[in-house]
Amino acid sequence: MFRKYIDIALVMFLIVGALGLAVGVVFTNRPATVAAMPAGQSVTVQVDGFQSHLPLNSDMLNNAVSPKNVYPIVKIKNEIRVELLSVQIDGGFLSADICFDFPSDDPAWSLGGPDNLKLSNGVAEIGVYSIEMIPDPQSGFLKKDDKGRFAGRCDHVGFPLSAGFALENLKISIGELVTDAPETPDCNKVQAKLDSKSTGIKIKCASEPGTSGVEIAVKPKELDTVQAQKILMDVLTESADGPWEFEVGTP
Amino acid sequence: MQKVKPVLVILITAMFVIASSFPFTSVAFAATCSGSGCNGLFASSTGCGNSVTNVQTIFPASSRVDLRFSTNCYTLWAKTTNKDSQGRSFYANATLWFPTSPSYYSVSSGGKIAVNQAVVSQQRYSGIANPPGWKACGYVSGSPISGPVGSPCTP
Repeated sequence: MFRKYIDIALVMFLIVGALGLAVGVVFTNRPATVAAMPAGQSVTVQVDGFQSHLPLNSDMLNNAVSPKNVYPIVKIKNEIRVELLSVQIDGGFLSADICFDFPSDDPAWSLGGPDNLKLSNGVAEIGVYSIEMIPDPQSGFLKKDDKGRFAGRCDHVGFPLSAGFALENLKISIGELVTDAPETPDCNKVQAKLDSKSTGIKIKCASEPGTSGVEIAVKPKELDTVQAQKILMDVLTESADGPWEFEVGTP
Repeated sequence: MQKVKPVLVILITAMFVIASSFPFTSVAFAATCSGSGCNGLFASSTGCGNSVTNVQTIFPASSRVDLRFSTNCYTLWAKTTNKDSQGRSFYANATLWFPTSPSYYSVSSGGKIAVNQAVVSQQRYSGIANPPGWKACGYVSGSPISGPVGSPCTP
């Protein structure tokens, strides 16, 4: 008699537990909307003064002449989509909102620094000074895909306008996407990668609280410090080649 | 035995459901602290630094200053990296400002740090990536820096 009740209770417990877990999994993996990244499914192209809306296509996007000041402008390179949402001038800065897809499930993907994200006018270049995340409304920070993987982000970026910089023939270019250096790199793996490339570089990792980074302990004489650092950063971080270039009109 | 058999079938089915769900769950990075229990601790020593994204970044001369966010601990901290293009070493400071007492965490390097080396402040639980009033400040210099630093700061 009692055994029957125990069996029923056990079955109920298992069913409730499994259902609870299933609901949790479905909730965790719910599709994230792309509301923060208004990735238009068409792109505006301009040829001989005519404008039309066409379906998104990688070749078309890369060959298209986008009308200036019509946003978003979408560029796809190596199957990675980068989108320029808007451009404006405010307080001595030219600022732009840029969204991009992550090449892999790593929250550290970024637009890089002033040597990689630039504003040019055909005469001079200005490197980016500030980058500020535009949080995804679903996750509160990065865009996630329907499997819960980090899939992209949007940023508000600022270029300080110097005196005499002409606001014409403007182009915003992103040389590559890069991951930021990790807080706690796996030093053994980094050293193994350096060794496999026969770089001759030996590293020492920061271990004291409040410090971060990898120090070059030994390097070949023929390498100067800057060259050795570049080799180390290439091993320490990931990158995805561009460029993604956006011609923009005067805001 | 006849009573036990259905139970076993259900048990095995339930275990299958549970086991098959694991590959689809998000990867969780283990951390040794959570919530406000992370306050004042370093991300690198708590596992919070294993999954990080930059919320705000500025690029003052020869450096970069990041407001970093842990995607597994929901904490923020400041990080200042020597990015001198000529390979020079500098003193550095990283200061995290936040609205509640003690209002900041600040770390200055004891000596000059090499290119791509960084100083990192203690972390503070924020719960969200972009809380208003939080910012990272810092810079690099040829002279020792005493914190906290109030400028330059992230937007």
